[in-house]
Amino acid sequence: MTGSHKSEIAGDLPDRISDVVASWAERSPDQPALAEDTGAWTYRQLASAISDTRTWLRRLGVRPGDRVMIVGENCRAFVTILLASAALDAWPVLVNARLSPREIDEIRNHCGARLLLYTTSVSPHATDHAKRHGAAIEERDGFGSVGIGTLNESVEPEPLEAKVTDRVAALIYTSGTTGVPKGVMLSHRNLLFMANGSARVRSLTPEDRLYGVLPMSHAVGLSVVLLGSLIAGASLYLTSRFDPMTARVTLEKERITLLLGSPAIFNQLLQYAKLRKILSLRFPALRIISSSGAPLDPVTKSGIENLFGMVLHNGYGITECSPTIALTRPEAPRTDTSIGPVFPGVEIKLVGSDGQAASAGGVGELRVRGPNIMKGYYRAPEETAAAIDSEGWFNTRDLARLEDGNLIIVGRTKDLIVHRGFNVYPAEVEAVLNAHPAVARSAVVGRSVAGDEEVVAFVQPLPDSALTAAELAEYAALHLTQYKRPSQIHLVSVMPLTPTGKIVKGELKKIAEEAHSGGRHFAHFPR
Amino acid sequence: MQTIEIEREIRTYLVDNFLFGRAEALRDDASLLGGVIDSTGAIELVTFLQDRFGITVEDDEVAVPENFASVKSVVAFVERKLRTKA
Repeated sequence: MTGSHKSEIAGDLPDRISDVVASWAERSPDQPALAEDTGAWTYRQLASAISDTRTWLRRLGVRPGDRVMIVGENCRAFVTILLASAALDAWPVLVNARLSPREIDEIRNHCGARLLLYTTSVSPHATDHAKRHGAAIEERDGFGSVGIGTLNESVEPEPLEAKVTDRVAALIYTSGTTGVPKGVMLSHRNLLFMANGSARVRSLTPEDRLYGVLPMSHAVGLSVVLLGSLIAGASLYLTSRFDPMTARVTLEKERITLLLGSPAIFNQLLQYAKLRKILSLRFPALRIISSSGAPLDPVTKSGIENLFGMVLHNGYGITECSPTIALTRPEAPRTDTSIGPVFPGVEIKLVGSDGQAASAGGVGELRVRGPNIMKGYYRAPEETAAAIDSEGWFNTRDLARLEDGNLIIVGRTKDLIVHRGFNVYPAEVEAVLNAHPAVARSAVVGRSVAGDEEVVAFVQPLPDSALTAAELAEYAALHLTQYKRPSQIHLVSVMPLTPTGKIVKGELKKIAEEAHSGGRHFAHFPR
Repeated sequence: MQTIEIEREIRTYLVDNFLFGRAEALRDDASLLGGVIDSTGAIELVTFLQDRFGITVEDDEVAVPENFASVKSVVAFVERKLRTKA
């Protein structure tokens, strides 16, 4: 199966991600490019800042092939250092400042960073890391204070690829819902293919104004939001944190036309509306709202659609695919939580557990091929070979099926629970639990018992609810066939989350296993 | 209500609800929104301030970074609102 327009989207693209700014600086120099609450830049100003920063980085000792680690949150400094590093053929290593000291140090050591820079002006977390590392904090014209680490003299630059478009434009460590984070190498071509395709699917023009709340240290924020906006000559309003009240004011005042968020963000908007007793939020300039980064549940989708009076679109991807694999189209809105047709120019196939193509409409492991597939994992050739086969197919390890050309994700391969010989897809059980009016979110994991796996649910009720596990078990029994019903339901006040709001199922699995050995109390339901 | 009382109540709320009771983790200059408090917490904090002090906090006021930058700025903000109310 192939998405359309591959050559059109991958065709006339600039060589480097930094070039998208240069071309708009020539064509529309006074068009607003980036704004934040401390000020705004036109495309001319952004191009000039990138040029100055490139010179500054060189003076600091950065060479082509060096890894420049940017510990930060969304702001003009983050964007400028990222694009200036890429213009210099250094590798920007994009790191969310909200990661823990241990995670930050692991990444620094793994990538062999030549230099660490911290966006201290907008991020107290970045400031904490800068202080911890003994970085100097300096004021830079235009973007406030920046932390500058000590130059690591002992690291060697990576050799440059002959073809500029194949050089690494960003190194992003996966959030790792399981296991050790891996460094995903994305090329200029990967990112520009994604930026261009995303902008085209949404018909972005210089008239558009995007709300830049998704972290640019992650793939969606980088390629879809930041580069998608810049490649279209649109304006991007950057913010380093999300709160629904500030978001409402900004959407209104800045006449935002596109809001790309995550289910967590849209859930917060729903909670805000509930607390403020707001039934309707209308933003006349807003033309597209879309969710990605984690599975969208039907309750959030319909709640937001009622509140905003418009369709909430959905998309799916993973960092290794730059990241989008499928997204719903503005001209073909969905009423369900399908992730829509495949991204233009990308191929997919579904492979059954026997290694053969899944039957029509059947569930299979999703494989992806196209210009969006990463170069590989940095310093991990074995992991790269395990992820991408000799024909260039990347294994998402997600289970999916196709319905009328629209993809539906049914779960992770490794999350599949085999209970009494039946396949139980956690996403299906979670969808049922999430539909209960007192449930904020849920996560379902498997727990090994002698010769079998049990279905264990972790459920976070809404703050004011008096929900009991027994009540929820009765509800599940009404909506799920027997083998899919959780044998245990654990009510929790919070879920372990990654910085992008994904539930860390690995931790829940550990808790479930510990409980099995008698460590914790669970509500247990005989069936 | 005295400044010291307002500050004590706000501190107690933040420590109990966001810092698992670790009072020492709440420095005077600690950044609140985007730091100590996550995005869901912003709504909860505003609801607490409205309920406890009988004030109305508009969305525009939360959007002004200075109002919710630190404990001290929230205290000053509440005092201003109480003065206006009186």
